[in-house]
Amino acid sequence: MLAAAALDPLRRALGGGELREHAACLVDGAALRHTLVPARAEALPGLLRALAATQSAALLRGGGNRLDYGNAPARADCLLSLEAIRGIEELDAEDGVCRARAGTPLSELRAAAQAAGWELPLDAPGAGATLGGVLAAAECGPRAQGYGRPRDSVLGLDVVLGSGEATRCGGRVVKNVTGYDLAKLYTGSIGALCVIAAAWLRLRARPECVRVLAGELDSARAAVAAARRGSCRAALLELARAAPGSRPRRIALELAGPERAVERDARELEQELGLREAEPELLDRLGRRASAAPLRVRIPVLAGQLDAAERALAAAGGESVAWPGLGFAIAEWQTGCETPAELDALARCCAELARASRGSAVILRAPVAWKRARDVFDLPAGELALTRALKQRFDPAGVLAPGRLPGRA
Amino acid sequence: MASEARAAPDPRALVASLERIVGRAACLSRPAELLVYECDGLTLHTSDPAAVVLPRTRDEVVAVVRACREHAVPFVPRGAGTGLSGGALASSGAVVIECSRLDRIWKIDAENRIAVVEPGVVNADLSAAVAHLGLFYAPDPSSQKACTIGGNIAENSGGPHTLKYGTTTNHVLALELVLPSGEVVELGSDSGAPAGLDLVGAVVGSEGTLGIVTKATLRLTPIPERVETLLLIFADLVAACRTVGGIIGSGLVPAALEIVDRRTIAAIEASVYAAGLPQDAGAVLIVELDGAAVALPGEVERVRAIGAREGATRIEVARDEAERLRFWKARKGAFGAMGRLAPDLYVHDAVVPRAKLPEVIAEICAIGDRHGLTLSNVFHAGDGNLHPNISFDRRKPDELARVMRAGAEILEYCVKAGGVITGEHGVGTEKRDFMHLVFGEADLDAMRRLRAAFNPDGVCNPGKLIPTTRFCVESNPKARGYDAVPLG
Repeated sequence: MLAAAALDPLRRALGGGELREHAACLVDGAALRHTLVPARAEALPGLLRALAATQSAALLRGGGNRLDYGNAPARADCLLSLEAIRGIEELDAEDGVCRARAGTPLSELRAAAQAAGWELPLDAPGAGATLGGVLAAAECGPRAQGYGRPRDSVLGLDVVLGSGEATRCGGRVVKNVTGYDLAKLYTGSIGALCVIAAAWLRLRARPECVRVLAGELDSARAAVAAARRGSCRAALLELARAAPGSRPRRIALELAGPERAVERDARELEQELGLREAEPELLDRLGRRASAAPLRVRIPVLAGQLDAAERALAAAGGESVAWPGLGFAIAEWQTGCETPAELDALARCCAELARASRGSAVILRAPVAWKRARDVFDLPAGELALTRALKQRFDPAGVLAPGRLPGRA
Repeated sequence: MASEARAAPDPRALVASLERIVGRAACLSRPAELLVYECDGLTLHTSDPAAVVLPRTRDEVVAVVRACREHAVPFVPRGAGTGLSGGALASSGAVVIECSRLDRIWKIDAENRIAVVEPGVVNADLSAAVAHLGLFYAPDPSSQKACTIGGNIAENSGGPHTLKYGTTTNHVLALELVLPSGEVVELGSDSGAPAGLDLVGAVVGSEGTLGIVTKATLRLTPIPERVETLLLIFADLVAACRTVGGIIGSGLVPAALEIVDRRTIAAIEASVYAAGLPQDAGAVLIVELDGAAVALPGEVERVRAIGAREGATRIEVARDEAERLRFWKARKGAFGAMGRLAPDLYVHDAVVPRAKLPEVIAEICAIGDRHGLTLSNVFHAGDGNLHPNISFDRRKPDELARVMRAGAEILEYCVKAGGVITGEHGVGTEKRDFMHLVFGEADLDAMRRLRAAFNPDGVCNPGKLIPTTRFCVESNPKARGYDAVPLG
């Protein structure tokens, strides 16, 4: 929590912003009783310097959906909310690009893009999601198969580095190799290298036709062919559980594109797999992105590993949803994850599955005491060393969620 | 100041140690052998390397890097040398590590649609190797028959089909990288599932300044069911640009939208690349659509209607592959056709918002005229990516100076129009000193921080991408001043 001596310097640095005191907000075991709410992006450099001067550390808050993403921070004294730095600064309907401030609610941005005849290629992880939060977490939503990952829609960013410098990278044009692609580094840096203040985004053409289909499959592998249909932009598959026949293997697909292509794919999926028209909300429900399960892990799963992953996850007793078009599965446990020994065993199982697909499992949520004692990213040593070197250079005083990144950087 | 910290290299000892690693035949050090490595595709900048090595394995790359460090000599990775911004130039008397012999395709995994390749694999060869599986490697720079995957990764190469398929960064899933320290790291994963910072995204497009890629996992893309290519002729360039805006605004996502201007048409039609284009045309627009066979006829009709509305004087749809290739010949032969206009060609590269294309092209032509230069335009109109081509003869007094002045004015105008100074060729040495047009000192310092995390002493490909400042050395106490050495 913030030291009493830190309050006045931080209030001064906020300028016209607000320092809110509130009931404890628990994030990874830290009880946070203050939220800094700068009114303008221009206040951010001074605010980060004031955090450094008062030896305080902040957790960034967008919509609050992924506050616990990443390692448990080594130090967290307050929240820094971007909610007041909001608004769409420009939407170029001819070019299909827009610039918005970080605190802009995704719903507002989506509505504006639609009104201009375009589609915002970002899925919201939950209610109140903001542009800055979605880019900082860089979490793929179900439609990332068609939209691309969040990083693919970012053309340029205004950021304030942890060290307090206001900088920008990229630009507003859709093709750009002018200097390092720092936007890739910042997108997904979970608020631990910089504060994203504003972004230029590439919008996507609105599809002529969108249809959602759902059904039950005999094998997990059948989902791969379905997800690879030309018009499929999202596919989610509930994997079978331990007892055969205890639950059907449900799939939900979203097809989007030229009407004739969508209709052809839908017709063939109906004939070959017995899929039927479904409500559009099914996709988000199946993804359980707002689930409160105590243990939740993202595991890379290549198409060729899907059957093996299903067997292993069923044996481990969890509930899992594969994203066959995106190459990963989300596994969740409601029970059987109470003791450190149980959690260790499940983490080992996930890590082995990830290695079979030459990737790393990421623990998205876990009981705090167990989480605090481990690195949720499970990355190789070389990647950890580079991450630490980057943290040291972009946030040398550790004012932005120190310990959050891989390698507890 | 910082260069004082660097021990004077002993060239003979350096070459001897490099020969011990790669063998005498794979280590070039005689002036005649080095001549071809004095530049890349940007022939305006030259600098002699200390030596060139052609390693065959990752371990040889590691050993070469360590040897260079021991001898206090910087090193520069190089692919096929087709780059157009001086990125592979051996500034500061560097050793060139030529990756063309690291050319194995380790794995083609059709089930998971990935390929694992070494950096020396030629771009077009990869697509050829997977074509029988119904797959291809999507980034298609103009030099794809010669350029290599390693060079493409360094430059984040694009190509005409970037519009739909994205650039190299959208197709690289994982990398094996030899860091400037000689340590080997693996970044990313075969599935592309995110975990931690996007270090692969930071390395792609870093122009060989963050390390040497020795293996890459690449995404393979299904060959589209059907392709339709249209050629639209316009009396003026503005109408062609309006058509591009109309197509994009209609919700269509073409695979390519390429414009060739009047001056280029004249050069093409007078060359062996003649494609039967009308000499009086103001501009030619090539539109390529691909995707589901059932949907394409409707899309072709929509493009026709937009073109007709904007005043196209002729609209042709390729009836077969031969005709499709004829349309593309006009686009792809453009650079070759310039060869008969003058002995030298400067291919520029900048990007502007699409809506600004007509205004910017008009000004670019006026800049060429003001400087008495032969300037023509071929560009990726869908991306707003311009390629003004200046044909010239460097032997003529003052001509090179005029070319450089015109180039600077073009970049300044593009930036004022909301654009940037390079869309696909990279910064290298060519545009290093123009970075201030786009970025402030704090923005450039953020780039230096990224470089310093991978390449703390600046020994890997010095003198590229970021302008050198006193601040650079001061902010990075480990820097040994490689960047401070002027270009040759």
